[in-house]
Amino acid sequence: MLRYILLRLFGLLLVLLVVSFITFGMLYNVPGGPFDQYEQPLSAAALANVKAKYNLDKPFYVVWASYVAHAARGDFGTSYSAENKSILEIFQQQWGTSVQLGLMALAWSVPLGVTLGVVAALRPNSATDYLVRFVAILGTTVPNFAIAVFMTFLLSVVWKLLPTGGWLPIKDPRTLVMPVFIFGILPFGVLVRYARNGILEVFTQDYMRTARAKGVPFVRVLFKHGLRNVLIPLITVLAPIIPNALTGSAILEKIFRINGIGRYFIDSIGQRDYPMVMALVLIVTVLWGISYLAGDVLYTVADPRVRLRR
Amino acid sequence: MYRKTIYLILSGTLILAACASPAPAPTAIAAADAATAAPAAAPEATVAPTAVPVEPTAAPNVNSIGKLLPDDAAPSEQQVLVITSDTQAASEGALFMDLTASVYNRSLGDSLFSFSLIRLDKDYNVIPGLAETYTPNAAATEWTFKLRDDVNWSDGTQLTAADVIASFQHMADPATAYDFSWYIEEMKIKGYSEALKGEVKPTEIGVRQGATPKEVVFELSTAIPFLPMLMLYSAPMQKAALDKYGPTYGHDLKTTVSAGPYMLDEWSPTRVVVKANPNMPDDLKPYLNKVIFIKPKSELQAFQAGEVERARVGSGADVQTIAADPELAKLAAQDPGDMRVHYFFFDDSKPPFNNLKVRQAFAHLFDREAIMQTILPAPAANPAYSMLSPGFPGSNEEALKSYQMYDPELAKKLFAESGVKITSKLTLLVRGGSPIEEPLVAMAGVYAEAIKANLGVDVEVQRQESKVFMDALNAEPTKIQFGMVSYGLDFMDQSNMLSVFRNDGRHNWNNDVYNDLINNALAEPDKAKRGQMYLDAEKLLVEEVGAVFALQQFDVWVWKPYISGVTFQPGKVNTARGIGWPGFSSLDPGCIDTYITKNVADFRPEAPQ
Repeated sequence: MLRYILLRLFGLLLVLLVVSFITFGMLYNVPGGPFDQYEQPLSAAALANVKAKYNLDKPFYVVWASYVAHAARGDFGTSYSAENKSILEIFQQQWGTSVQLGLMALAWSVPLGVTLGVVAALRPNSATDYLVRFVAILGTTVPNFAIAVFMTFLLSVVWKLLPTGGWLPIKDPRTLVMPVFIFGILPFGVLVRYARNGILEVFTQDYMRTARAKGVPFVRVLFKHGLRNVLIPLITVLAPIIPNALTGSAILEKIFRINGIGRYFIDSIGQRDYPMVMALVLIVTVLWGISYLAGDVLYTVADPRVRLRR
Repeated sequence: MYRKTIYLILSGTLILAACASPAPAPTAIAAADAATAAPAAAPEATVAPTAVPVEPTAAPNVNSIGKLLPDDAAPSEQQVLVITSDTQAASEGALFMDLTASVYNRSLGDSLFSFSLIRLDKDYNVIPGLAETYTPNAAATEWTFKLRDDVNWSDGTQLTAADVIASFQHMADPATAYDFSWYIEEMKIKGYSEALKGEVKPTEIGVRQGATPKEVVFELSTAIPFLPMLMLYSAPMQKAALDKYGPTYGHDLKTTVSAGPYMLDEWSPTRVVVKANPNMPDDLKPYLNKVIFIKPKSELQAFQAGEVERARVGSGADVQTIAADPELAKLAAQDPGDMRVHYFFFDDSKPPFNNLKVRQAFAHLFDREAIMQTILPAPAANPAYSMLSPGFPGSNEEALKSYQMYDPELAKKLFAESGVKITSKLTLLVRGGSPIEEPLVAMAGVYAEAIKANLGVDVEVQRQESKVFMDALNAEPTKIQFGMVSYGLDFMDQSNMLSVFRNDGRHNWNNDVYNDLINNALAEPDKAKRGQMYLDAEKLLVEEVGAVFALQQFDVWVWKPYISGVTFQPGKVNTARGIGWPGFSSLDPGCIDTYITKNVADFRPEAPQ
């Protein structure tokens, strides 16, 4: 197991190199640089100064190599839009908020999604099942920005119950309601569907019928045999959901004025803020790699028949 | 013994009298301002302490820094304003609080921590700012700005010429890579362009101390008669803080220092709070105790929810919301903003647009009136027939209308006369980027249809991301054959808007006569002659179709009805209620004279935190 984990972590390093090279190569070669002006162009001399200052007067692979060398030492550079502040400082100050948002969203969506998925599966084609599936489909199909705009209009503009934005957990907890709810809708919908389908499938298995026929209490059948066997698909879908949640939401953080790192995903691409884009890409890659690795390890816990070998 | 008895009897009588007296008298005295009420009340109390109620003398309504508020102002505790950022440039997460540090990467709540050498009033006239006088030499090649003696930094140090000089040297330093250096180059300060190139040291540029530490002298390489107007972007940073902490010192409570109307109170990427600066002379002290800046994704929704008190009506959806709500519409004000003009331009170096008749034919096919009625109804825009909108100094739009008036028949005739055949499809590129530009794509589409219908030329409209678009536009040679873009003023002089079409500007309509007129006008000291040179140049630009001028875009804002102030009232050029361009900043007196009126109680029970 340990050898497997170490090999996977080594593989992750290679993935990081490839991902960073492709990302940087694409971004660097897209027309429009970080210091192109919206109105009048800078003089040639001024533009040359800017490029020299940020080491952009060299071919992209040289800049990339320099970036990777610094990143390996924990220096992710300075954001072009926040001079004098390293990206690590920005992350230290703002990632916590994104993590709070993600954890709170998962805190309601994971247990509720699994529970309602199971409830729906236990009463297939009932009114409860239809209602839960309707909500789940809504959560997975309607984009969260559309829900955000609608809810803001209804709850803030018309009914004036909640503020349109901000993130003040202590001072005004009402600011948390809409972003946490909306951010959790997608994982909720996904988990409902997987939990429901998993239970439905498991309940048709012979061993479940046998257990029921032997007179094993229903609750024991459900938890020991049913849910245990649904864990594998649930772990599979949770693996990408968790890193997504922990890196904030590019759209919701913008809409609700949340001071997290998620909103940098869109802004920094538009601004060609190469160091910020690279840092975000590397973080997401690491989190995804670790999540999938953790998922694989958890498979062995959920199902002892699974063996990790390479 | 007797004395004690008399004291006891007198005391008892007084206590009984006090118990029997009606309540208002002591209450009134207590409520009155101690300094004024006590002497007035004392004789009355001696004669008839219980019978005559004393009228309370109202305490003067002063704000948190002791500035007397206007008669119709709400109490001090209500003098808090929550507004959205003024410019699209302000971005969440940016750390620069000063224009001399960055123009395109400013924090929310920027430009409040020092005054520019001059400011603009509501009608864009130059008024004194940090400088109380500005005097040119006879040739207008050297200007002396005398700084106010009474404006100093909040840490107690003097604001001197050294701060202004350090700020200009910072903007000249190649290591700074100042993002608005093209503008400073327009000032023609000796050695500035050379410093950018690294040919001279930033300390050698032509900005030096005058006769006293409160005088700054600008030495120019050529005469610039309108230099004070250009000094709108000259608010100094503090030299000591700049040297010690760098140009972002303003955003950090540990390092910030202010010589402006406000001081930093709280900073985060999504919310900035500034408070009134008590160290200012009285005429520069603001009425507002605090201003809170946020940048909601939908400003209008935040306004409707009562979370902001000023919001930009930006997108097409916002305009529709306003149109559908008469109460909201009453609060909307059309503001000329930066007098932005949207126009279509061509690659004049190649066929078919190197042919004047083709350009003229295209110029007569833009139906402004129809577009105004359908896509961009007032108050969002006005038709434009030239680069200088009505209200801009030297605007000559009425006289120039005929050159680009909608006239399909004339367009067909001109196109036929050109002898040019356009068989391949043209691509009309539109700069994307902000929601404000959404309706412009539709506008370009209508224009494309008109070209197809009248000239038989296929035109496909494509929206392009702002950076990709500007990269293509500024390429040498340009990569855009036919495009639409806009330009807004940076300073209120014809040279600013017209310089866009100079030979070294961003378009390749190169006309030497035009170029000479613009360049020579820069140094012309005779105002009348100068004005005529610009008139001639603009006529040439419109007649020879350097661009097809489409419309003048307005900023539309909604302001809560409980905000007032001298600058807030409608002006002659900017007839809107509210604070116009350059916005709620120390560049504009509106940041000082704006206050919350008494009727605020009808809208918000208490001041926002």
